[in-house]
Amino acid sequence: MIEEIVKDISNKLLIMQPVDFSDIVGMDAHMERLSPLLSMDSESEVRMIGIWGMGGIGKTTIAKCLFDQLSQGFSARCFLQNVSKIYRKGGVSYLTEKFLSTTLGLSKKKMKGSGVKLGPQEIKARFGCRKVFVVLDNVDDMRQMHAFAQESSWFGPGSRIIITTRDKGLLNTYGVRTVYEVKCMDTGAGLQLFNQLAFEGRLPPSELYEKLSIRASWLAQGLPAAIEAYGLFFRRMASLKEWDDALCRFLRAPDENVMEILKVSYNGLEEADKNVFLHVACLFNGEPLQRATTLLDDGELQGCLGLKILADKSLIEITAGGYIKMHNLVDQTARAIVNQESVQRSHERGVLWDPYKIYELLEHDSEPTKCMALHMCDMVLPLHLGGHSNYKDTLKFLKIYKHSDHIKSKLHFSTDDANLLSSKLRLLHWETFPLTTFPCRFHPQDLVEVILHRSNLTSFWKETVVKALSRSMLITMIFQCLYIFTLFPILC
Amino acid sequence: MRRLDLSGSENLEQLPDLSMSVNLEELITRGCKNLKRIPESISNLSMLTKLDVSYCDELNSYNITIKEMTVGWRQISLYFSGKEVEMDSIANLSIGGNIHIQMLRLHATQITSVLVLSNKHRTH
Repeated sequence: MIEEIVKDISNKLLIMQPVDFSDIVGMDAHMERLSPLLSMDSESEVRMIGIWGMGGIGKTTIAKCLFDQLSQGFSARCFLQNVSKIYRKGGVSYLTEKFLSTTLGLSKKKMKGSGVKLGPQEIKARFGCRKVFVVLDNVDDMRQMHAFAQESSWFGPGSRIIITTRDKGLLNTYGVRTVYEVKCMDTGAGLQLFNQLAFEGRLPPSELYEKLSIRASWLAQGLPAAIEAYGLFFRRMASLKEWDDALCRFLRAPDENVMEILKVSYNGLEEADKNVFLHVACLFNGEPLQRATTLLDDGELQGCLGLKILADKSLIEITAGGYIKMHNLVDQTARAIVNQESVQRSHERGVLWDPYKIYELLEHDSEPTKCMALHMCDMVLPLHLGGHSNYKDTLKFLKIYKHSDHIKSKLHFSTDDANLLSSKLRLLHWETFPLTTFPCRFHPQDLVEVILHRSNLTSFWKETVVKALSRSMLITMIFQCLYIFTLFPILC
Repeated sequence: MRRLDLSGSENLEQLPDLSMSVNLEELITRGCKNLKRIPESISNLSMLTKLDVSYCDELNSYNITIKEMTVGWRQISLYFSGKEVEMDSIANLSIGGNIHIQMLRLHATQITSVLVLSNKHRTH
């Protein structure tokens, strides 16, 4: 019995435990901007406020701070941390149980004995007339929202319900009109937070460390979770050499923990949207939305819908000028995912960007891919593209860049080889394209963009031939070409 | 196809027949120094908004007319084998070389920008 009481009190204490949020960099600004949205003076209405932003941006911390500062005057209050996790563990009933036990301050055992029924109706009956302050943290499914309130009359007048989520679409569907978007920290604030953690509140010991700390905090690109992870990591680095090594490591790929946070959003996507996401990271980060939409919108990828979903789930941002902006760490995470998946599912590779993987694919007749972005600056060795007998026509997006300072291309390509010039190509972007004319078997059907800067072309393909043939005849011709090519590679 | 950008392809003499590319919005051959002519086939492309044939040195003696028809409606005409062809959709035109540009009835208030770069001063 005593044990029960202690547990009960400690449960209550846990909720009331004061945390000092005044130290957190940027928190005051968030509170100031949120204050008018919450309009705490309005006693008659139930207000729902969504806090929306990408993973690791600090939504939960902001919600905790709001709860800490504002929930005191409410007759019932509840901070339900990680709703998504609770729901995955035990479904709607477990979620309501958690909610009731936290709000009523009852332990699990006591809940069973108290006769409190579990279910949405119970919430309405108990809180319909009470002024409550509820935070539903990390909601990612409509069913989780419905478990608490199918209409605002479930809570008494003056109640405030705060929902943190990565998915704006979910807030829209639920009719939450007041949405606070959490954005990345600016460079100054990011550096301040980083230094607080890396040098334990002290100033950098020398100018050199100061310079390194600017570079290190820049790698986190204003994402608080990453700044925190990097700050704590660099705290352990004792020498300048260690700092330098760690910087190089994070330049290549983000910290594992940061990637885990960012991957959650990716894992929640449908298969088609996952594909669009990886394409955007490797090809269209920084490009106009309109352009990416046109290129990605074929029957299979459904880019138009996919890009909207990615923006809703805060994996990309659409700037005011209509450009796609993907956070650098999200971009890096996407590239890491591409590499991991290409190992796991080498037979159905979607996107390729890593020069080593491209060497592997092109030099060893592996299974073909649908999208390839190759930066020749990243190529360490020259790549010779020989004739491939195992030719499969799947490549849709091809982007080959070359640095304008490089005099010689590292990519060697012979007229025989049409391996990269698939007839499914939608984007053909090849800087310093080496051929003087297109191979006879290149008959693209779905080309949306052709960008061949500083190409070696003297003439194009013979359009007159293409015009004269019907689609089916064309296909036959391609096969004939291939057939001849396979039999007499020297002749073709 | 929506975009064809062959900028800097210095050996290119000829563009393909583009009359079938009815969705073409941008044609860019900036710096294709051996390009002899703008293909006649673009005259029917109703979606073409951007035509950039600047720094195409071989593109000689070209005639272009820019007319202001009514207020706010400008018309660009190109000449193909001596025949004037109105290109209604082009909003963004860059062209260079030895060309003759005729500007008719332009209302100064309606033009966002006209930039004429020339290293020769013509008297007429």
